[in-house]
Amino acid sequence: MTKKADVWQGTLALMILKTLEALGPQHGYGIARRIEQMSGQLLLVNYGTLYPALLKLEQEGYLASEWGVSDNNRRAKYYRLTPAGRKQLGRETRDWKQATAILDRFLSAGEASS
Amino acid sequence: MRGIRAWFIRVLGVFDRGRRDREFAAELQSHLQLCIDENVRNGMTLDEARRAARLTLGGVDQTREQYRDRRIVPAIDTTLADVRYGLRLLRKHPTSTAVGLLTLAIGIGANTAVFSVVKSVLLVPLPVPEADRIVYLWSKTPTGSKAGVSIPDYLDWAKDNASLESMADVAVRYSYTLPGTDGAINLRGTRVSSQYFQVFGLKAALGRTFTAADDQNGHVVILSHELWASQFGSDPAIVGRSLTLSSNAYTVIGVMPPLARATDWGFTQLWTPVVYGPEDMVRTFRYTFAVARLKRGVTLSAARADMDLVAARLAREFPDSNKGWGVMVDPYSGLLLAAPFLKASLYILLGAAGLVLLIGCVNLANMALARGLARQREVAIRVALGGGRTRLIRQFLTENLLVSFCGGALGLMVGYGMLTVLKSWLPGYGTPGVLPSAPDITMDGLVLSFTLAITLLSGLFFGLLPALRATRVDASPHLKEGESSTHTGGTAHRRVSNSLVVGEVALAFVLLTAAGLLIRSFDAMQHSDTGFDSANVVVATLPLSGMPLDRDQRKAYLQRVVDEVVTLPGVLEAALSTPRPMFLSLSSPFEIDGHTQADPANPPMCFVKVVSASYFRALGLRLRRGRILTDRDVNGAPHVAVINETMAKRHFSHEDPIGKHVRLRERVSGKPQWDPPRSWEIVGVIVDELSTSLSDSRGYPGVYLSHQQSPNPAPNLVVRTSIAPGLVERSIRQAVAEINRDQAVDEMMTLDEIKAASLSGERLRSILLAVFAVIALLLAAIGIYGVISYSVLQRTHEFGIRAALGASPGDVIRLVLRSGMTMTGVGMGLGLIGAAAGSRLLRALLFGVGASDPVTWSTAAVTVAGIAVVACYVPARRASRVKALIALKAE
Repeated sequence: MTKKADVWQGTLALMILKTLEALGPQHGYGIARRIEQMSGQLLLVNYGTLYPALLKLEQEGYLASEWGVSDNNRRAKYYRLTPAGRKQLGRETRDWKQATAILDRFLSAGEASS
Repeated sequence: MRGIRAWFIRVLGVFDRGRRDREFAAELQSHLQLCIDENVRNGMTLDEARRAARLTLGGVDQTREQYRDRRIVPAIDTTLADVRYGLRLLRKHPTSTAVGLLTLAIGIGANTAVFSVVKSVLLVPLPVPEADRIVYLWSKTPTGSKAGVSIPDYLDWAKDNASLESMADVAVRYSYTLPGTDGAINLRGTRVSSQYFQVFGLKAALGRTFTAADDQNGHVVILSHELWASQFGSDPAIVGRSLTLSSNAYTVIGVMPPLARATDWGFTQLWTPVVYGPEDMVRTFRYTFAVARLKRGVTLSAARADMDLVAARLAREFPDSNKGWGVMVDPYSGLLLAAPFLKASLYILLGAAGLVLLIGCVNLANMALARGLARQREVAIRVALGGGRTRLIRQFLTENLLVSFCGGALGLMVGYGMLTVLKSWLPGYGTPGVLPSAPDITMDGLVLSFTLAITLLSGLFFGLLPALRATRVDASPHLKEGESSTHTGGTAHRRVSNSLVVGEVALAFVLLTAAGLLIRSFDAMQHSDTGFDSANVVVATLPLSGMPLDRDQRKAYLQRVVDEVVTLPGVLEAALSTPRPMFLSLSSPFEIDGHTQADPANPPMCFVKVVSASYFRALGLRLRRGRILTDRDVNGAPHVAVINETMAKRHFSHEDPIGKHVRLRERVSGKPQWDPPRSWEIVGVIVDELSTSLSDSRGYPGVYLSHQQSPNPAPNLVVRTSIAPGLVERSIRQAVAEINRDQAVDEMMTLDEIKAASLSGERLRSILLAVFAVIALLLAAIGIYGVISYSVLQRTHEFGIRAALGASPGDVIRLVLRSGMTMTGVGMGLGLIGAAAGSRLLRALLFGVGASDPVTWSTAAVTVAGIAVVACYVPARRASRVKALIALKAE
């Protein structure tokens, strides 16, 4: 990929959960920056997609939020993983790994025979 | 699970406006700020940092909308907003809102009230659990008709069947006299065998129900809830008390819950066990009927097959008495189910109430259409701004459903009120199949669901069409400056409105003719010939049950009473009879000497009235031939009888009945079998006396015997007075009390009251229909007025021009009236067709008038036309007053 693409829909939730596990409690901007960073700046996160996703995770009970103060003294809303969120992260990670493994085999099998 | 949690939070989020959105705005702000900070840290100037941040992050408003859509359930939120808007709209037009709500409330209320009756009488006549397992059993005669059950047969059925869980024998109604401080009162009792309450699945509220042991000892009694409350003050210690009923001592063993009245519409006030004596064990004496409960899982047809086997077995074992006899098994609710007259009347009332609601909805639809027209500009703007048509339809529909639900809630209260008034006209205990009792009619969950359903349907009916029309809009004409919104959309809208009003008028006309026909029938019934002169006649019953006198002593006792009463001041004649006047029981088979023998299984039947000689004078029955009975026709003298005209016409059509002999078998009360037939010489023919209700104009053949010669005493007093009967009632009671203090004087009424009571069902029906017809007419008038007013409003400009061109006010009025009356005329034309069809359906209920009775039809037509003229006149006058100046004013 040579240009920045919008983050894929279904994977955003997984990436948010993973980010929070890695970074600990973080505000929305921090999460977005981290995701962009981890993708090598190839993914674009605008807050139109980020905040609805954060809200959904919070409504489902995987995240909890509270207002706090950032490093440079700005007020920001911080999100953190709940125990249920941790479990969900583990589940989804397993599912993804399995899906990619299967796809991998398909694609390599195809290449081998062609 | 997580999904549900999320959804739940979203629903709650609908109600938490403001705060959350502000919080999110702050969060976005903070995000933006953090981004700006980082850009500054990376070396941009403040302005560059801001611009860069905004560019990379995207549109704020769009984000806020997406966030909000996630935070709440958009559908609920928009619906709530629509409801709030709708409420504001309603408040802005208070009069039309009030009219609309009132119309709906009356329509829905009427339907609720009538449906409550329909439910209680037709849909759920037996409101006990598992009512479909309860059946009643009759004997089937060799010719296939119904007959009672004999005790030995009943006992065998109970013993030999495989399909019934419990069975009980229900003896004929029995009256009990309860002595009291104000004189004795008569109570309605039923004698039942011990399993009776098990059959119905009823448990006692206090004490217990019958056990097999009570079948031996007969002197226990179970009270109905109503009796316990009214007569014994709901005494909680009633169980175990001893009561004297008909001179015998009975111990109260239990009180039934109010639900027990479901078995016979509250007729029974107390139950006693039936005790069989050897005289009951006659297999041919078939006088009772049985009820039973089907075993779980057994269908009605299986039970019928089973009982057929039992009957066949009995026929083989006892060929003399049971050969050819079978068993009929039918659902018990069939006993309670309405006679065709009651069913038809209820459906007619339900239909009429439905029509009233329909007419009301038409009015509301017209009002909604007009409102929609006025809002076309608003709709156009919204469509231009990108509002989806579905969203708009949803909004209009929500506004109208709001009206309909408010109307429905009001309607529920109105319906409750109407039902209360209706119930006040019904008796305290019912006559199964003929007239329900007041406490049997309830508003329960079924009625509420019905009300909800018609509220919803009404709302959809008057809301959907205007919603669709209002949003089918070509945006551009309305956005132009200077276009008055009242000019546009005229013709199509007018056509729809007019056709709706035409429909209304037709429906109102149909209802008016139906009501008129039934009211005239009622009137004809009230004045139909009864054969007797009913003015100033009092009737009372003197129940003799439990009196320790033998037959002859009873007759002498009654004679004493009648002799005493006739001497009272104000009394012209006093007589005895059984049964009471206007009470019929076609129970005597007869044979005429010299005529061919009838089929013994299906003999001709007549009623037998046992009377004292003064009966004919007391009622003023006119003699046709021969003579009436006299005091000389006593026990030792030749047995003579007087027959009525129907008997003479049907059975002596070619000969003179005087001198012929008729043989009757009389059922003697208290004895288990018929006396051997006796021969009676016919000495006179009397006019037909009305023997059932005023609505029944059929003639029944009958025979009158002297109470001195018949074995049956005649315990009903019939007294003709010279002054108002009410003034004499007290002295009659006193005279009876002087002879016997414990004699109950029951059901003392004037003959006029009995006549009126026999028509109570028809009277109620006529009143209700008349009320519905008047309401329908009023609503149609309002509809006409509304449409004509609106069209006058639209044509104000035109009327101004006409006035300027020289039209007189009279011309304008005529113009408006003409359009109004054309609408009415078309409506009446349609109505004529509808009424013609409808009156055909009514034919079975009409009495003394034909379905095409010209008086009714012309009155209905004139009334509708007249009301229409009045409704059109007011707007017409307004139109005629439009000055020429108005037309020339700029818009």
